[in-house]
Formats: sequence, structure tokens, C-alpha cells
Amino acid sequence: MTGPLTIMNRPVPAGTHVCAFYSGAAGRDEAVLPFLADGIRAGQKCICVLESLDPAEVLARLGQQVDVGRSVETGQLVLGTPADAYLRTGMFSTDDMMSYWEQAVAAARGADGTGMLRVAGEMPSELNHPDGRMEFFRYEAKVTAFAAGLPVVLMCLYDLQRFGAEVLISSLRTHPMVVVDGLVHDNPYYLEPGSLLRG
Amino acid sequence: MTGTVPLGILGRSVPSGSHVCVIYTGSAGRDEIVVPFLAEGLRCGDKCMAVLDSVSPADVLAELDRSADADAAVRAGQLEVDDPAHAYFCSGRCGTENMLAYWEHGIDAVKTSGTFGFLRAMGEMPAALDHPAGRREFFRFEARLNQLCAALPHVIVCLSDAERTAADVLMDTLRTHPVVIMDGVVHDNPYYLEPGAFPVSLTGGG
Repeated sequence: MTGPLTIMNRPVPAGTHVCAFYSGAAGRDEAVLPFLADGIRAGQKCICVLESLDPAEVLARLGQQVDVGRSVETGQLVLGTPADAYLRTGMFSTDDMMSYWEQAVAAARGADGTGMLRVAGEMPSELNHPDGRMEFFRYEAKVTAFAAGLPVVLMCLYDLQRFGAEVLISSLRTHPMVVVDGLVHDNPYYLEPGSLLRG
Repeated sequence: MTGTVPLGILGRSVPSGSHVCVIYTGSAGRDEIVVPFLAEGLRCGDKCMAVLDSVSPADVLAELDRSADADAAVRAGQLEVDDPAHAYFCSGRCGTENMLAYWEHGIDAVKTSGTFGFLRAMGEMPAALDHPAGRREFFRFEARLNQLCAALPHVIVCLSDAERTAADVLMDTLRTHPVVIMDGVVHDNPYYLEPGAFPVSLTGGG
């Protein structure tokens, strides 16, 4: 059974692609842990790909907010690193990531086709150079279109202390919703994927 | 005062009293903003003041002189373009009071003496303040400047170069400007926080 989709108690539609901005580890935990906890409570499949916190620690901190039970053993909760997800072939490929998410959504749907997938991820720091950022944000632009109408909600996590302004701006251009300062916003700086990918 | 103010950039106008942040990338992006904004002000008969760090005042005045009589405007006291060293730090100390003192005479020229009908202001965070305590000082200064300008017809444009700014500083800029121009569009900025609601990063927790 899947529950309602909410982020910080705000109902959001399936297919929501949101980015969260914060400064430092405490801000990251405030953004990602309740998001995952909501998913666990609602019986939704959750994939978490963090670079700044290792999977064991994510599980420990999540366990303080919700009964994680056997969610890892059953595969309901998947905790990985960017190397596992974004760089699993050794290099980042948008096409590869798109099929990864397609498979994850299909698997989350389950036998009765009603399952929902929650994804939380950080950009790999290996990609924090001009070519890497360009490819990663072309990917982010495609994620919004890919997710639309699918039973998935994706939260991308950006620690403002780890990147330059160009990452913040690229995130603003590629995510229709933003979480910052304790609020969920419709993001007016979002650019339609067509206009971005042409450039 | 109601009414709109032509910015001279992107063909955009904003309501009088706007405090706008323009986010751009690199020197070419800046050049599309600074001179056209000031040139529009000269055309309109505004008192024009700019304190800029990323480009020399001499270069701005030379470029402006190609489309308007910038020299005459400077002599008449209509146009002032300075760098932070001259405008803010000439007493050797930086601080909110020094920075405000520079702007106060321009505010008086509009508000008190009535020499000019409108204040058109442009600034950017000085590199010398680009550290945690300095940034807090600069944002405090901006908040005070807003208060001082509240009762007079004015527009303030702050420049933010994405190539020269850290992400957390740009986020603080988004928290302190109700109107933001990015990618050619003027936005009511939803990430603006009223001064009382600033996070610790802006207040220093004190």
C-alpha cells in the first residue's frame, strides 16, 4: 500500500523532482532523513545515494526517526554511494542513469503495479568540474521530464558549502520545486528542459 | 511613489522602490548590465551612483561616455561611480556606518535638497568583505540602506557574478533580495526572507 506523497507535510504529485539546499551536515539530515522516514512509514521503496554520509550511518540516523525493521533486508530501503549508482560503470552516463531509474521505478511498482519510489541523492563530487557539471545537469534536466507522471519522487541534495554558485544556479534551472529554509517552494527559476538542452 | 522604472537592461522595468539582484555570469554578462543601467539613469535625469569592485570606475565612465556625456554628468554631481576603497574604506576601516555615509549624501540629494527626483543605485559585495564576518556586515548594510531609501523614489540593483561567488553566499543573496533577475527574467523571489527571519548564517547567531 502506498501512502500520500508529501515533502515536509506538503502534498506533492507523483513525478515531483525537487532539490534541497542547506549548509552543512545538520541541514542535510534535516532534508533527507524525514523524506526517507516518510517513505518507510508509507511502505514506499526508498533509494538513497549519499556521498557525505556512509550507508551504515544513514541507517543508524534513520532508525532514530522511524522503525527501519527489515527494510534493508527486504530491499524496501536501498542505501548506496554515488559510486554504486551514478558511477557504477566507471563513468557517468545520462543514458545509463535513465535506464537505472526506469528499472528502479518498475521494480518499485511491484506485483500490483501500485508501488511508489522515493529517491534521494547527492551529486558526486567527482563531477564537480566544468564538463562533469554540464553532463550532470543535462541529466538533471532530463530527470524532470522522465519523472513526470511516474510513481516516483526525487529529492536532489545540494550542500551550499561544497559547491560554487554555478551548481546552485544549475540546480535552480533544473528543478521545478525547491526545499530551503524549512519550506517547499514552487521554483520560478526553473527552465523547461527543451530550452535548457538546446543550449 | 508608485510607477515603474526602466532598468535599461533586457527591456525590463520594475516598480519604483525595488531592490533587485541581477545574477549573471562573467565579465561579458556584467557589461550587458552596468553601463546600460547607468545610461538609462542619465537619460531619465536620475541621480546615479554605483560602487563596483569587479570593474574599474574609469572603465565604466569611459564606456558610458560613448553613449552619454558622462563627464558632464560627473561634474554636475548627477553621476558617481566609485570603487569600494574610495567609497567605503577611505577612513581605513570598513563597516556599516562607513558604507552608509557614502550613500547618505546621494539620498539627501534626492530626498532633502530635491536636486534630483530619483536615486538609481548599483552595487556589489566588495571582495574585501567576502568572508563570513564581512558578508554579515554587507547584508546588514544592505538592510539599513533599504530602510534609508524607503521614503524616496529609488531603485537599487545588486550584482552577483555566479563565476565569482560561493553557493552559500549566492543563497544569502537570494534570501535578502525580493526581486531577482536571472536568465533574462524578472522574478518575485520566493526565497526572500524578511530580516527578522534570517537564518544564523546571515545573523552570525548573535
